Amino acid sequence: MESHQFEYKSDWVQYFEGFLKNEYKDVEKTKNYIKTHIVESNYDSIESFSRNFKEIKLLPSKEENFFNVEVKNDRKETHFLYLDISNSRFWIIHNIEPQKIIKSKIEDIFCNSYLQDKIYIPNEIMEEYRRKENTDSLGISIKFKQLFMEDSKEIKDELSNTEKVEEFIDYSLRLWPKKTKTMDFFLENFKKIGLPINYNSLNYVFFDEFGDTLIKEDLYFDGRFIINRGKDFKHHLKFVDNVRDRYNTLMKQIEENRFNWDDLNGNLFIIYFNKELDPQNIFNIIKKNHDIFKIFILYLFKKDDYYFYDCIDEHTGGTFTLQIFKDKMYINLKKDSCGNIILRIFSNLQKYLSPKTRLEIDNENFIIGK
Amino acid sequence: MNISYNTQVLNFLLACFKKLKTLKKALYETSIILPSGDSLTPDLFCFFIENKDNFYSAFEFKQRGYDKITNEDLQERLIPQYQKYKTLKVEDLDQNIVPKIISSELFINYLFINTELSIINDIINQIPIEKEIYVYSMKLNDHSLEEIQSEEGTSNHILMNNILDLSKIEDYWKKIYIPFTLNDIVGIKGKNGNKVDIPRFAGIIITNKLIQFIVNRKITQESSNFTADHFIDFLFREFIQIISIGEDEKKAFKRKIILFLNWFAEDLIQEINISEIIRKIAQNKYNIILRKTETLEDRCIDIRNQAIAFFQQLKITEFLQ
Repeated sequence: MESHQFEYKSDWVQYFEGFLKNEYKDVEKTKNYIKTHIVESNYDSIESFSRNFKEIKLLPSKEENFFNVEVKNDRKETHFLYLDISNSRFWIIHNIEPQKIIKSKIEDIFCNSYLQDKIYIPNEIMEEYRRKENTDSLGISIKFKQLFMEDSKEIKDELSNTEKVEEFIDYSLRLWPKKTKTMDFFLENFKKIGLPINYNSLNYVFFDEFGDTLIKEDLYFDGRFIINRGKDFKHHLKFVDNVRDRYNTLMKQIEENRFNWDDLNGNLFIIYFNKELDPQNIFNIIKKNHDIFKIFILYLFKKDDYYFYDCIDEHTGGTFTLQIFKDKMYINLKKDSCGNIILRIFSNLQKYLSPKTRLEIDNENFIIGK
Repeated sequence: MNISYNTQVLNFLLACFKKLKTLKKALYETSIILPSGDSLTPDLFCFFIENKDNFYSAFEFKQRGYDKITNEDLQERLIPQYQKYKTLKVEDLDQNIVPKIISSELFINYLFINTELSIINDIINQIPIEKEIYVYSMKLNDHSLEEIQSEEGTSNHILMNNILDLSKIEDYWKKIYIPFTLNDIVGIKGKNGNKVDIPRFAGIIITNKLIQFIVNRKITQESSNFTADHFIDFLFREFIQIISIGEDEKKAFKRKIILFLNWFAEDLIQEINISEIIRKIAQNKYNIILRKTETLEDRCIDIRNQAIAFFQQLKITEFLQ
């Protein structure tokens, strides 16, 4: 068994690739999957981040953007994470530790603490990955839970009304039809019976030209990856980099539209619901599901057909306002606020209200959704 | 509560300017010192670039609720202000605040808000407002904008025609960029002794902002100690660049905010028997009292709701007397 700490990224890549190929005899470790997370950080530096957490120790490598991270569990046992900060905003964390121990540590420290957040890939971009990363073997998991219309229990009696299925359903489904055409057939028919198609994960098998498996892995909407098996770790790294870079580009587009009165930049973000809702109920649900939306929300006034709220993004303390109408919401994001709040709200509305929810930037040619 | 008509008009115009993409600088309630030594404060003063053509547009918002124009209003307010507008030139602009391009034209727009047409016509005739000054009538409840007089073929006329077109689309009346302006939060007054009178709308807005400010400081791990200046900076952060108020007005505003903070830290807590959220620790210095961060949200919302309940029941004045 090799050392857990690496001076060069290439040594670590070799180590993980060896794991994939079962070259090591560490029985305990080989039971674990290789896992990767893309996380969002608003810290100025990795050092200022690590100072806030006693349970982690940053062990720099000889390369600027690659770090070994020692994590202590509750029993003071040591685990290792490998951190790539070549994009200082979106970090990539790799590990091969037991999921039940390391998952909560990564969530608490890297994804759910001050200035740290997950990423939230919108459903359309997951659909784009499903189509673009066309492999000979593809699976999906779809998951949807209606939170915003849970009072409409009487609708449950209307099972024959396919248009209303999305108004009450709570379901998850895993499919591995392998062929893209078969997948399309299933999805089209699910849509016909009114099932909301919200991708929770995409499950890929990438093959080489001889039909051998390069990598079999899952991509989740919140930026997690799990490798099930394979032989080409570098293929995984390239895939992760692509997902990160796509999200980074999206974030730049969003943040260019934050309000900055110095130079009159900025536009409202508009999220269209695909149905009419009680604006006050939307406020109540966002407030009640604090763990999902992470928003501190204060009612300010009601005018005509909308309610106006002052909000704080609890992830950064950034401020923004929400105007909630029956069929849409306007978000006015201040220049010092983090753009990830837009995708956190939007992706979670797709997941818990309707996958047909659409995001637009006012006065700009920017639309996600139909 | 309702936002003031000035705030509503400002947001409508900003929504139109955002769509038209020609606005380069906007100043809300910025005083311009005239060569005579008098000052003029248009409600909104804008600098536009359209097809390489630069021009300025000053907007004066007017609301007259009465049936008949009074002589006092005419002689003491409307005519003197109009005379100042007539003398306003690009040369008078402070280039530290707004680009100063002498060759650019400067236009003046009178925007009458929720005012009867007969009153608008009386004002036009009796001042009298000359033809090169643009006059419009805006009805906020009907979401309507109407041209009363204009000079055709100018850059300003093209701009205003575009705004007239956009005014027919409902959405432009509903986009809120700035939820409150100074008009909404002035009016806090000291009364006898150390008592303070806080208007309902101002109280609701500033209470909301204070709670937001406290939560923001806790989340961003800033010091629990703060001064009125910190709070004022936070209050104006979202639109500070378009509000340019004079030094005297700034001092007056700071006095009002200190009155509000003292009331929040001392009187409110004592009288309605809720756990304190800020404590006065010295003159103009306060401390945030929120030790258990896990209860931060509920506690802040509870205190905010109780404070606002007083404003909404209009109890605050009697309760403090």
